[in-house]
Amino acid sequence: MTDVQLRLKSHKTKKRIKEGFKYVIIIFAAFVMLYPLLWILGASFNEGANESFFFWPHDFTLIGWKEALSAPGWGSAEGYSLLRALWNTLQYVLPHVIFGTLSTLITAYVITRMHFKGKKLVFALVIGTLLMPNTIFRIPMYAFWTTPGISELWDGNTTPFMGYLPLWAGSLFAVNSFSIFMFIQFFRTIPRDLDEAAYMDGANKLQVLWYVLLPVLKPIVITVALLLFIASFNDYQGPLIYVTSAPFFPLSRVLPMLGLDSTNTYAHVYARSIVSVSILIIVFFAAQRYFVGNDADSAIKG
Amino acid sequence: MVGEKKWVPYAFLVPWIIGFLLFKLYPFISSFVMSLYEKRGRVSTYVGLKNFQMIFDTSTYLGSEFMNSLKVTFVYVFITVPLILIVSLLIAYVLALKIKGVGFFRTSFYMPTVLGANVAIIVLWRYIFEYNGLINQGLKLLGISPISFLGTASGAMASIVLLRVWQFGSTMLIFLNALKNVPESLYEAATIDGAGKWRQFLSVTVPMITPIILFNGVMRLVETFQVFNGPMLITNGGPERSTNVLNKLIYDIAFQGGDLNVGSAMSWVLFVVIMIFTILIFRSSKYWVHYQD
Repeated sequence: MTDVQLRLKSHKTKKRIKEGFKYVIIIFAAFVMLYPLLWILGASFNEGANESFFFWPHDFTLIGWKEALSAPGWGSAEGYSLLRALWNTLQYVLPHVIFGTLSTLITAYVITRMHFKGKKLVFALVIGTLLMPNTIFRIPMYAFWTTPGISELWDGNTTPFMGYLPLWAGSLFAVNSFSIFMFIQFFRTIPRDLDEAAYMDGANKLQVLWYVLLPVLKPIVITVALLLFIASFNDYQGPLIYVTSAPFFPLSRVLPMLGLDSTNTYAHVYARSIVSVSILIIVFFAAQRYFVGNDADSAIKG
Repeated sequence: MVGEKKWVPYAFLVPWIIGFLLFKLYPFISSFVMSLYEKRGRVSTYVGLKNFQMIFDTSTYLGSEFMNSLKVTFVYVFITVPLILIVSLLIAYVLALKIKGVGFFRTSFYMPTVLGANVAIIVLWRYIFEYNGLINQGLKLLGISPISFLGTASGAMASIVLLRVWQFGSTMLIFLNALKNVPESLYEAATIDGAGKWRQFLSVTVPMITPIILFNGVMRLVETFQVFNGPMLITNGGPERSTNVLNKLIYDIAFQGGDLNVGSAMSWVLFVVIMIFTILIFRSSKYWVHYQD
């Protein structure tokens, strides 16, 4: 080999090492991030505490998974199980996701596609409330919902969904500024020619949104719905404040009560936690190709 | 639009208008009004700024609790936000280097964001940070003696900070998208000038995405000032109130103790603190944020 060839070769090797280096970093980082989850999975099959860094169970047991749906210590009546807590959770998650997505979609549609006086003010208020800390709204809203006459609407109401009204009522009225903001960002990337053509054909505003824009908007609709789902499903303080009677407890109230005791071993606690988040994992994987895929990226641009 | 009726847009806006008035403007004003009152039994009396004087009077129990919470919240925010920004930007930068299986890695890094905020996982976080838990077992492998995370002030703070930093996924996705929009030609020019990858990162990448750093920074600041779940479920504010963040103190005072008026006064202080920092950051942005065009 000539000198030049040798140098070329060493250059290539260096490049390859550099190439490999970024994989080393990224794989190591992914390992650090995901290992706690893997370890939790392993611990759910382990009798007693897993006192080792290694995730593989050393005293294998299935008891945690066999009794994963039971919820001893929550309420006393028959039928108190994790499934019931899940259903209680969904009673505010579902309305929150459906109404929240629709109302913010329509609001963003008006702001980006219609002309009216006060548009700048509305946009400024949406952006302004984006940064408003929720803490400041919480106490007056609690005072509002517990006012005699209003509390009868929901407190102890066994009609499905209604018992959790304070947790999802806001989503009827487009209170989630971040969702509006994401829709606005996406609407701006869609050429107006699309709407104009449909108006020429005699379509009205709603028809344009539903038939023309919605197919294009699909990734962002799914992204917003997914983010609302995650936020609502993971909400802890809301249910803590408003849901005070045991039969109504959602997962976020039930799980902290079911710690280690004479009936609950580590395996129980770990398995129950995994079961509780399984619906979250399923929804995330079903929606994630839109979410982390290229289409939706432009939507979460700052 | 020709022939468009003037009221149509307003009709579509009705839900948002109700939402703004009832769920934003009303509670915003109401919480300030509530902070000026005192409730004894069923009677509310106007007391002016007395509640504010009370919570800032450190000679009283309430005042010292409030000061402690304010301090603890500051520590939490000013460790957590820079860490989230640094970790998410570095990971996003590596992911943007044309890596095979980007989709897989993006999903992996987003997983903790989906799960980490859930009560089920937060409850387990406690076990992971136990004396014999996963973290200390990992440290043992590295030859570091175990740390009492939940028993010491700094250890407890570390556990709730790490829980939040672990969930850097959304910030990372926003950075990743911004990085894709940095023109390739800039990197090529830097390479010709002999700049290495690290140099390129500091003098091309970071300046180009400063608007996004500003956006992410402000969003995380507002969010982390209101942290609640970790301190409530993992440390319960302890040991010795060392992780008793403001939002938890407000919860204890207002919803556990039933004093909505003092709770409102505290919320307003938190609001003002957040606003001051947000304004300061925006003011400072003209010195370090570069806008294109």
